[in-house]
This record gives sequence, structure tokens and C-alpha cells, in this order.
Amino acid sequence: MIPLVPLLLEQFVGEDGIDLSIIDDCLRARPAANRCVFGRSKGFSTSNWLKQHPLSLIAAANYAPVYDHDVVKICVDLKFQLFGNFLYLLILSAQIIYVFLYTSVALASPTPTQSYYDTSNYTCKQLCHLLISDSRDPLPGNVVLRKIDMEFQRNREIYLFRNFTVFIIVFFMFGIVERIFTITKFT
Amino acid sequence: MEKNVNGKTPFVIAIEKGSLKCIKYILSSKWLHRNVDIEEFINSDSLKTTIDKDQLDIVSFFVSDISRLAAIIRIKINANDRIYNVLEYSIALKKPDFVRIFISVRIPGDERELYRSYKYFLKHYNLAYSGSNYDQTPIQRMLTMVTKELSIRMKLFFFPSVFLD
Repeated sequence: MIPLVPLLLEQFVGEDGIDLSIIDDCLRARPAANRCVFGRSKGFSTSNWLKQHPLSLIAAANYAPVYDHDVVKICVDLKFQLFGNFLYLLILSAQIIYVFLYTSVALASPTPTQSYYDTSNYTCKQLCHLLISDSRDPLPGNVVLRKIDMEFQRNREIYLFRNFTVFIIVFFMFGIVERIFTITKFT
Repeated sequence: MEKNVNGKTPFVIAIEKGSLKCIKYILSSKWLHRNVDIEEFINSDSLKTTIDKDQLDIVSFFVSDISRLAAIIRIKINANDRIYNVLEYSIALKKPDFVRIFISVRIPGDERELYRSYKYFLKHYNLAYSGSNYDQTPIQRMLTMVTKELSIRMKLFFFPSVFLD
């Protein structure tokens, strides 16, 4: 009876387009509660739905005129694009989690007791006056200045490194997404 | 349409005997068209008889007319206490010739309503056959149904002694 399936599919190719409902009435990865009656009956799980899906039956029948039919090809392409969307969502959520984790770690990590933050409210001139007029420890070999300079250098490196890693990750993710879109276009 | 003692109408007997001429004569009567509904003739009894008795030319005559086709796709045949349409019934009986006739009807472009109901007929989601666990649409039935010839060939291949004795 399989050689007759292309005839049946042909009935759904009209003058004003192709009706895909013969293969799948909703074109989703899995059935929703109120839609996609395909393969729904008592005690029917989603894995059964996938096994009984016309596309898997067509694959099992392995008969060239059926799986080469336009209706089947379009359905497979659409399903593949659905998978691309899923992958894109996965990557996007991974990226969001990464950003949240990084920010929270940066915010929650303790600042050292003596840091350049302590002097952030002073101008340079005020700081110089403060250092000179320190009665207890008047500018002992420019330790604070050196510290400020050092901290600045170190933090600039950290800042640059963070930007660099973010750039690399985003670059690779866009590469993956781009690749998926090219594959879906040319298959 | 009066029935005889066996519950058969003249129309059903004509189908049983395979008399296409007689059927054409009955259906072409203008008086009948005016006074009797087409569904009095094209009903589950007559279609079931046509499929059971392998009357291919009669069924191709039935689907050749739009009003008859509209009646055919509404027919529900009761088999083993399950209700099937004619397509599902002929798939169940493993009669590919009838399946071919039912799925390859060409409907004119202006008959949109009929085309819609015909498509619904082709993808009718219905109860499983007795051997299967899941409800199915015709395409699923066709893809899972092993044809009679193939199964006989396989039996002949694996158990030749049964056939040769």
C-alpha cells in the first residue's frame, strides 16, 4: 500500500499552495495539550507520538517516491528549522546565565581593605596634600601612589581580559548560529 | 427503496451482480433525481457491497460524479462495531485498487467546499484497527499496512510446504 502514498500526498498540493496537515497538523517538535491530535488516544505518550508520526513511518518505509515528495521535504525542512530555533534558545539562555553569574560574582566578591577605592572621593591635588600633611606617616616612599598605579594597571588588565573573553564567546556563538542558518538554507 | 427478505435493495443486488449497466440506468433516471435523495442509493450498504465484491468499475463510476462523491465521503461503514469511512474500510481489507480510486479523485477548482471535506476525508483521524493500539489517520494506516500480496509472498518464501501440500 506504500506505493499509493504519493498519490495521497498529491491531493494536498493545490493551486494556491501546499497543505501540510496531511503529514502534521501543527508542525511542532512535540504535541501541545489542545492541538496536534495526531496519534492522540488513551495512554498515549509523546514518545509514542514520535514513533507513530507519519514522518517516522515514512522513514521506516524507506520508499524513495514517498520521501522525495515535495510535501514531505517541506515538512522535514520546517522541522529542522524548529530544531535550529531550539538550539538558538539554548545558546541564548546559556549566554544570559553566563552574564548573570559573572555580574553576581563580581558584585559579591569582597574588596580588599586597602584599595584605590578609598581615595576615589579625593581629587589628585587633595590626595597630594593629604599625603604630605600626614603627621603620623608622611609619604613613606610613595607607597600609596605606587599602590594606586599598580591597582590601576592590574584592573585594566582584568577589564581588558573580560572584554576579550566575552567577545570570543559571542563571536563563536554567532558563528554557530550562522552555520545553522546556512545549513537550513541549503538542504 | 424496498428491501427483500434478506434486507437487500434492488440497487445492492445490481452491485452484487456487477451490473454497471443496470446501475447507470437506475442513477440516470430523472424522476428519481427529483424525488429521491442520492444518499438512498449511495449509502453504507451499497459501498460496503461494492468493496466486498471487488466491483472496481462500479466504484470508479460512483466517484466520477461530484454529487455522488459528496455522498461517498460522508458514508460511515460499520465493521466489527467500529465505524470507518470507505477509505479506511478498503485499507483494512487490503484492497489497493479501491484505495487508489478513493485517493486519486480530481475535484474541479471551483468546488472549494467539497475539496475541503474531501481533504478531511483523506486525513480522517479515527479508531485503530483491531490489531493496532493507536488511533490513526489514513496515511499512517497505509504506511503501516503490509499488503496482502507481499505477505503471501513472504509466507511462500518462509513456509513453502504449507502452499505446496
